[in-house]
Amino acid sequence: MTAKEMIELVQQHHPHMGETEIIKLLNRTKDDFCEETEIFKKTTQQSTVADTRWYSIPAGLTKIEKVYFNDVRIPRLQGNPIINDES
Amino acid sequence: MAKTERFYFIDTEAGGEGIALVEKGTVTKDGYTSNYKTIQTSGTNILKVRGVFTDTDLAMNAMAGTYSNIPSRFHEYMVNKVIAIGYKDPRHMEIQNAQYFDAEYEKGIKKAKKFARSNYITTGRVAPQDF
Repeated sequence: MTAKEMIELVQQHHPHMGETEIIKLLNRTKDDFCEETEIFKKTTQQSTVADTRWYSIPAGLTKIEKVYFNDVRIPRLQGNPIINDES
Repeated sequence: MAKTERFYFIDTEAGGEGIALVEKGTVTKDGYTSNYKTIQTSGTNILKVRGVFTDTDLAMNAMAGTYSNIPSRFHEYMVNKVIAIGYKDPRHMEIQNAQYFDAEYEKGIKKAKKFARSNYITTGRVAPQDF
């Protein structure tokens, strides 16, 4: 269903609502829907650099299931290290 | 070859929330010692993150756009939620209609959860039986 079709369906009930408002509400609902149903899963990848500790969280990520470093699954550390030795 | 134990954790750093990668190894600073140090492996290394994502937002200037990562059969349920929100607006409040469309949305949530789980089922296996 395209954005136009979704807007038209909403406006059949609420002709006073504008396109901007409807799209904002649809996007907000979509975020809740994806988070609650976990319908959209994917794997993202990025290159790492030696001696660099921090990497950005992929856009749109709501829950991490698995993390791999060079195709080897790595576990989540319980607690945080007390020293940040990143240069 | 000795294996290096590596870990990740999530925390807030200078650039906002991020994923940190560390490996087992002693590092000392200011008299304190930690058993985890930043990964030193040089060359091309790949960090892969598998998880649950939200689909891309619809844009204002692209009326032909859609939620391409959510099957189209579930799009109507999100429309139902927006209709319900509209009926909760004090200027046009109709609580019965709002409840009806909220319930329709909840039905969609249940179906989508079931659908998401079914993605993990590939093929069945028939166990042999002796008669």
